[in-house]
Amino acid sequence: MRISASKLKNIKPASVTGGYAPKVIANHDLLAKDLDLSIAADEKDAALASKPVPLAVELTYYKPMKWPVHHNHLTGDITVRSYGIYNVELFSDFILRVGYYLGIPMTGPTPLPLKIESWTTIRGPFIHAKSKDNWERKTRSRLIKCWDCTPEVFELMMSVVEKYGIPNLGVKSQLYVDHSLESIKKDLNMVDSVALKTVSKEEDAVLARVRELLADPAFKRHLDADAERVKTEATQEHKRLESEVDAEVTAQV
Amino acid sequence: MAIGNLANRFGIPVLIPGGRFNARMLRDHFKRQQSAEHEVTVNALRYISRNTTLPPRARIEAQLQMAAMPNYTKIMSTKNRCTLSGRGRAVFRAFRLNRFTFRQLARAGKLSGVIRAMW
Amino acid sequence: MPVVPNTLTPAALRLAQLIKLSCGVFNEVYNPTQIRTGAKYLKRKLKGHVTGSYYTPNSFPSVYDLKKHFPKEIQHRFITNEDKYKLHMTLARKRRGKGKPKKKDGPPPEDPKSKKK
Repeated sequence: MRISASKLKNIKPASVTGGYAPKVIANHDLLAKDLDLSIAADEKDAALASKPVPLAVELTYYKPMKWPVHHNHLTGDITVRSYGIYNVELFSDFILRVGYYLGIPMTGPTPLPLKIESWTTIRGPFIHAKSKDNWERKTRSRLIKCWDCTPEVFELMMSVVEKYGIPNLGVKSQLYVDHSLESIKKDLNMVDSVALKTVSKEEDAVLARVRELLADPAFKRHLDADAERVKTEATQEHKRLESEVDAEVTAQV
Repeated sequence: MAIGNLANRFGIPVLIPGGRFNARMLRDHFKRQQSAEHEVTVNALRYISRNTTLPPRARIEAQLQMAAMPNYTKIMSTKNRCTLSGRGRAVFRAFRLNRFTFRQLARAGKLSGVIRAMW
Repeated sequence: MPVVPNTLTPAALRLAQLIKLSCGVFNEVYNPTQIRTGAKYLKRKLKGHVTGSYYTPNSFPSVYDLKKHFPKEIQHRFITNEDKYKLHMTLARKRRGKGKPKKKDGPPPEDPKSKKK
């Protein structure tokens, strides 16, 4: 038995009433008062009327509700991918509901382009190339955007999503956090802009090895021999240009 | 052969791959392990040989050293083989399987999401 | 990185200054004459880890490995595919009456056909 929307008379999202504060909905005390259980014609209805269904469960029969986006501040993205339609639609619906109960304004699920990978194989293991088989794998995905909330709330939602995850589904999420420049510098122990020219870990490995090799006598003798000699034409040209440019800059200044 | 076992046939011991494998797969596996080990050195030598700001003799030295390194230290020498049958031809990258093994598993329904295409 | 021409006209000079400043601002390498420094081999992502792990990892023990690991008294508890096959074949033979013959005491009975005359 589905309780009609009219009976959910006192349960309205705060957005309709004008406020932004999310209202706790899944509250059993609220149920008995707000649901009009007097109109129970059948025996079934009567039985069910004596055992009220939790509101959150009842709301699953309706489309997920959404909070409106007020500040247009994107907090996070969630991408849900699967090889079938059912999983993807079910879980994106679930994510929207979780987001609603946590008070996160969400937009979506926007369907991302269908990705079809296809392969053609020869049927047999040996020759007979005239008879083939075509195979494909369709990846369906949905994108859900979370707006206006703090990173903590988003991470809380992701923890719920992870806990109640379903199989055969891929969930990717991105969290966008704004940092001030000072905090970033502090985090990375940077004092001035020179320190920003640090190399990544992978570069480090190769660069370190290059330094090792150049210190090796096999290479060092060539480098030493060339120490006095002026470098290649290319670098000469570079130096000349740079000196011209610098001279001009200093003149301007 | 069991877990943790080494193959000594190449002079340098290499951990054998899991599951079923054959001689060609083992050889390719050895090349993969060695090229992964020496990747940093190869890239460093390549950098020195390509850097025009360094003296020419140093660059030639780098080229010679790279040429002297055995072929199993270069990623180029690796070949994508089928991980089940060891076949070196008609291997799909997405599955690391050759066309026939792929078909066998796809028909058995063991490849997630793969279906007979109809259009 | 736009190339700075050899002969610097006033316009080209201004552009060259702009390029140099912007490199400083955006933390890029300033290389107006496009000297081949080989820096791409430093920036390149290393893929040895990916290519090295192409085949199935040798990290999970099979039933055969477990069997060998334990003493002989307990080894029969680990049933490999070979053991299953052997068992299947022996049962099939028994059903046909081709099972293992019973052990007999004493010499075999005289065969009347092979009686020496």
